[in-house]
Amino acid sequence: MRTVVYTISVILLTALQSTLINYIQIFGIKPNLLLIFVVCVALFGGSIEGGMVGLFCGVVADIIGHGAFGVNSLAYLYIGVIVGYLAITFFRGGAIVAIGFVFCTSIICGLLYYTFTYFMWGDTNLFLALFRKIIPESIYTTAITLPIYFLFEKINFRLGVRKG
Amino acid sequence: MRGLFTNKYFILLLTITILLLVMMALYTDNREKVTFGEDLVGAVVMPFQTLFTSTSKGVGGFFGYFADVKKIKEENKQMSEKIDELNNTIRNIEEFKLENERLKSMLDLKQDMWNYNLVSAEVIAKDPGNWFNTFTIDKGTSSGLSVREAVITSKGLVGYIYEIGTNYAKVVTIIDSNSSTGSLVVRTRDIAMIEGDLELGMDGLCKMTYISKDASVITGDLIETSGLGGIYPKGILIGKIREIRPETHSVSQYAVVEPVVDFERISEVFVVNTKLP
Repeated sequence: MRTVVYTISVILLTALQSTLINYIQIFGIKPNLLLIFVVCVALFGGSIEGGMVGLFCGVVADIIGHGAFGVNSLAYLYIGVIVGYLAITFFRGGAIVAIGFVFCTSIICGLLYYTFTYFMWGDTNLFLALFRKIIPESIYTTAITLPIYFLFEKINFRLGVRKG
Repeated sequence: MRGLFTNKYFILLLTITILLLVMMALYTDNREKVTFGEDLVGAVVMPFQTLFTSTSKGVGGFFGYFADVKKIKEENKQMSEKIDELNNTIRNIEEFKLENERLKSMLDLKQDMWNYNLVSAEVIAKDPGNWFNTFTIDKGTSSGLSVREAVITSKGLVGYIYEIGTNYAKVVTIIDSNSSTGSLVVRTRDIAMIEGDLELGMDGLCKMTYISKDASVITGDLIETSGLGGIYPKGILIGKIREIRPETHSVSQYAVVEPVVDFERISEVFVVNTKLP
């Protein structure tokens, strides 16, 4: 049942990310819904589930999006595995931990994206990328984490899944 | 750590990582025609994208009514400024003549566009991330389209198809930092390149580089496609020069170009089809 819910969620979130999210852009920046989803899954399901869902999210994002194929897949796979591991081993907290993880992983994701799509091809304007793309996106994504986290918690409660 | 990375999972993770890295290396260079798997994912996600886009258009239309009041005020202000500007233009006969020539060339370009085989398409999705200026249209190989075909609107150049599936195609715009277009200054016929730039792209602008030393480009000059490069037909309007700036690390200069197409509000496009009769 959870596999079906997760699969539908990823497809809906990917479609949302490329359509309606464009209407809530702030200064040309939009939040990353898939990243929040991967972090939430990893927090609730652990590293294996987080890694699997992360990989699926990444592959779909790579196919739908632009840029070097595999960057999203690799980034979301490792985010799912590492967040899942850290959440179960060190952190037991709820929403605050989710917010912290989303912010940190968003920064890492942005840096990875910049490295693979710009830096490797000779664009070395890291300052611009960091302050006009990566940090604003991380702040925006973090700002909308809470409602998605609570929605996710509710859905998981219905499906009989408890955190950790 | 031992609990998590037992051999089985660690080996699986390592295998997937290597597999992804290999795919990354293989697909880095233009993956023009998509694989069956990609086409399948595209086919599954596309109906939702179409649904969300059509819903957003309806909702946007309702709220757009209220937003229009503010827009009309702004337009009114802009038009008043324009009247002053035009009065100045009338006083200066030489400037008037130049302006007349520019408008005439614009009109010629618009008429020329209708000589191509145009396939209309709707924009159903934009790039999910914040890094690229790309979008997806609702027509693909089933409509006779193919990669490296130019995409335009009634105003001017948008970009070209860089990846295509059965019922969808991805378009890279001229303001994307991976894009470069052969261009021509309408007034002087000087040839240059229009390139996307990470910083300028955020404001919907692009840059014109490789401007010849002898070229006498000025602010307001109209830019069109040169026809060189094999993707874009000659004579499609790109935009006008907004500013001329010196390059940071060299003695040459580049021009900031304001495209005629508003990439934020783009919803319908035409693909310049080379195969259809």
